[in-house]
Amino acid sequence: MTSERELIEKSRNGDAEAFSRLVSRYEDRIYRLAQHVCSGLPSDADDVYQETFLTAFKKLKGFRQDADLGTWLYRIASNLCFMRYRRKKREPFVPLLDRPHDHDDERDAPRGPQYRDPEPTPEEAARKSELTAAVSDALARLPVDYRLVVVLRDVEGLSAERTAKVLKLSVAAVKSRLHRGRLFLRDEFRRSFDANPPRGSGISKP
Amino acid sequence: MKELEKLSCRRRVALLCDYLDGELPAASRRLVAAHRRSCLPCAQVLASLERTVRALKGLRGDAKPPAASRRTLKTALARAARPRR
Repeated sequence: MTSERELIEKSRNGDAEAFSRLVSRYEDRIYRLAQHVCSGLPSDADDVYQETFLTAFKKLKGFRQDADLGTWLYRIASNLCFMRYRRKKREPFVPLLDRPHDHDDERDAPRGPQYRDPEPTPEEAARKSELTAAVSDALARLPVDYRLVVVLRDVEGLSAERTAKVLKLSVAAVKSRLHRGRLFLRDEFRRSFDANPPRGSGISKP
Repeated sequence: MKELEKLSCRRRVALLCDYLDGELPAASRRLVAAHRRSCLPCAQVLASLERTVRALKGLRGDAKPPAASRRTLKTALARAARPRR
């Protein structure tokens, strides 16, 4: 198996075949990020996926050999998502403020198993997809600055340090946006499950 | 929890994130866990945030770019490579 470094070197010299092999290593992650950040706009996820790799191919000469390719690709994709969102929605940065006291909720659901996989019945699979749709809908309502942090951390599983590098933020800022984003989503999930309670008992609301 | 009250808001948020993400050093983790056992409101907030994080992790499943989109990218890459040869 050719090393990533060799593939990068060949790609720098315009070898599209070598670059396609790099694409296949990273495309699922980049597409998933684009899907969840540009949710509700399916053609945008496709465009961001294509533009990310095309931009990377064209700018590979400027990529530092000692840097991490995945982090660099996530950065390009995040910037593209962000710019498209700002352009289309004219969405201003909306700071999500902490509430004075976050202990005021007595309606908390009892703790329970989230999923009973690995072998879900068809009914459980349907409920799981219901939950997935509800989570995606709630994410779409989260301001994009926060959505990027939440998707990189909780969906993509990047560390706080790597997320900070991708978004060029401080680690403290990543943690702050992550916390506020999670609180917002928790409340959105509750609202949506209170309006449409999931059928059956396999999955507890978040 | 006196130790928590002494922290600035920013450090408290960082501590909470690290706790939820399992990244707290053992001593601090024990401190939060002990507080959680004795404070129902805090326990409820933590439980609700844990469920939120689990729900988000549920989105981690497979994501494949559509075949048509992959073909378009391949063509665009070949076109971008041509003038450089």
